[in-house]
Amino acid sequence: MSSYPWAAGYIDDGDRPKLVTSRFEHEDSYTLERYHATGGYAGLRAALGRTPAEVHDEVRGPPCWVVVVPGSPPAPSGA
Amino acid sequence: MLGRGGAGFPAGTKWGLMPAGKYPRYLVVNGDESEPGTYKDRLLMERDPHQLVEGCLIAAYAAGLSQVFLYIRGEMPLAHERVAVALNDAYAAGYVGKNILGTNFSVDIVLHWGAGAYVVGEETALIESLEGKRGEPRLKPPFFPAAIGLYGQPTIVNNVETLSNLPWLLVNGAQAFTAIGTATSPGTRMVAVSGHVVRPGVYEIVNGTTTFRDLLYGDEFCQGIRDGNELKAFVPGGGSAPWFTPEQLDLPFEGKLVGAAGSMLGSGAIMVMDHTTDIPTAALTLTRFYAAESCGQCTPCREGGTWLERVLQRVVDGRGTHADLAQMMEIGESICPGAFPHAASERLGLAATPFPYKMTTICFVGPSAYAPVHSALTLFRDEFEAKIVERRHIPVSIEAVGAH
Ligand SMILES: Cc1cc2nc3c(=O)[nH]c(=O)nc-3n(C[C@H](O)[C@H](O)[C@H](O)COP(=O)(O)O)c2cc1C
Ligand code: SF4
Repeated sequence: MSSYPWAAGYIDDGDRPKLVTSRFEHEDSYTLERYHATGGYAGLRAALGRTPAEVHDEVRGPPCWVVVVPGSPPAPSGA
Repeated sequence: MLGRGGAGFPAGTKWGLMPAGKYPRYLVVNGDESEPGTYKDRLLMERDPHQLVEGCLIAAYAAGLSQVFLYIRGEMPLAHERVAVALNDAYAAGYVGKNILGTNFSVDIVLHWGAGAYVVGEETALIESLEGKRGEPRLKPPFFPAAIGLYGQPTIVNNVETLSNLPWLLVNGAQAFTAIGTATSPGTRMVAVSGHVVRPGVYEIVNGTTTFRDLLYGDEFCQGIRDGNELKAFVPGGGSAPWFTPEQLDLPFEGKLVGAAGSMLGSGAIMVMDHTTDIPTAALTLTRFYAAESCGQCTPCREGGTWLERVLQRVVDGRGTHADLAQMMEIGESICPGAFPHAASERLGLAATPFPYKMTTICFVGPSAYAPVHSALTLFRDEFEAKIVERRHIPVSIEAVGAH
């Protein structure tokens, strides 16, 4: 089992893709040093090398991804 | 990239809703995470604040936003401290501020601390709060924040997890992102599981394909119900969401399917109740929260939530009557007229009523006070009946009181 005393509550058992929790295993994951050592700010550099519209399109994806599905919840996250 | 704050709205589409040529435009980061059961954004802010800062910068660049307001829940001091240090370091390293990394792209990021109101997580209430006013939701339509937001300017409000995904997406590309999950629910999502499972916690799961059964019973996840008990019910998307029972376990984390089955994925909080759970009391716990958090603008929420709590409390205390059960549904009707979503039940011969619902209130706090009552009464009415028939407290009559 993988859980870390410095990230109480987080569990990363299994071999799943980690898009937002990949640094949690490092005790100093919140520091700029660790962020740099693990590819930090490469996304910003990649973005700045392109036009804003290109970056926007990358996030938006092709039209078929932006359909708001009927029956999807209206909002709460709290809605 | 679907928003992870609750509504599941596509981030790129939202950025495109701002009126052309109107500047300045702002980004407001919703770090006010307060939905019952939800504790994923706190971890993202505490453990990887630079990822969030980088996500903000990418969004600002793509959507032409010149200032970012990072709003962090007041009860999360560690998150606040970590983000503050990360911001100072990022400024010093040239990632934030004027002419970022030598380009002509400039952005400032301001940190703001919330003051402990759940409703301020609602994006327009958050904007009001940032403007220094009472945190009360704005009526919308006509104006959504993308059109008229903070200080009357076009404003994008995005959730912490939504923005934290952007660095990975930019480095690896949209194709790699959509290769994970399904076409309508790409990528991963953070879920927070609490309640009667062997291993509650926060997990990053694959979106769209992971099922509730995988999550609650899988070895790599929650490993089943505590003490070998039976699962009775679970809340699939934060305290506002209508409840599911074991019959819905095989649904995947896919908004459309969960919506059709009568609930929502919401904030990614799953609350699990085993067979020892007193259902009316569990519903009361949630309803009490939403009733207390009403900002008071809408009568159906302010009065209805309070009445729901009081009547339910009476039933839980063993002082209720059958008329109370009917009255709770009647109060709910005044908040959400018409059919309210609920799960199917083979045991009860019930078909599901899908999302969404109608509402007479400005925001979702009012309906959220009703959701647990409606789910509990629809799926477990026998437990309410038992409380009324068995009466754990003997009602005191007016005469008896008068005799003293
Ligand atoms: C009562 C209420 C509370 C909310 N609380 C939060 C919250 O704590 N965090 C959050 O990101 N969104 C919350 N939302 C949803 C926001 O209004 C908004 O939809 C979200 O921040 C947009 O971000 P996204 O598009 O990235 O998902 C709440 C909504 C309501 C109605
Ligand atoms: S629904 Fe409740 S919390 Fe939301 S605006 Fe109305 S009174 Fe305020």
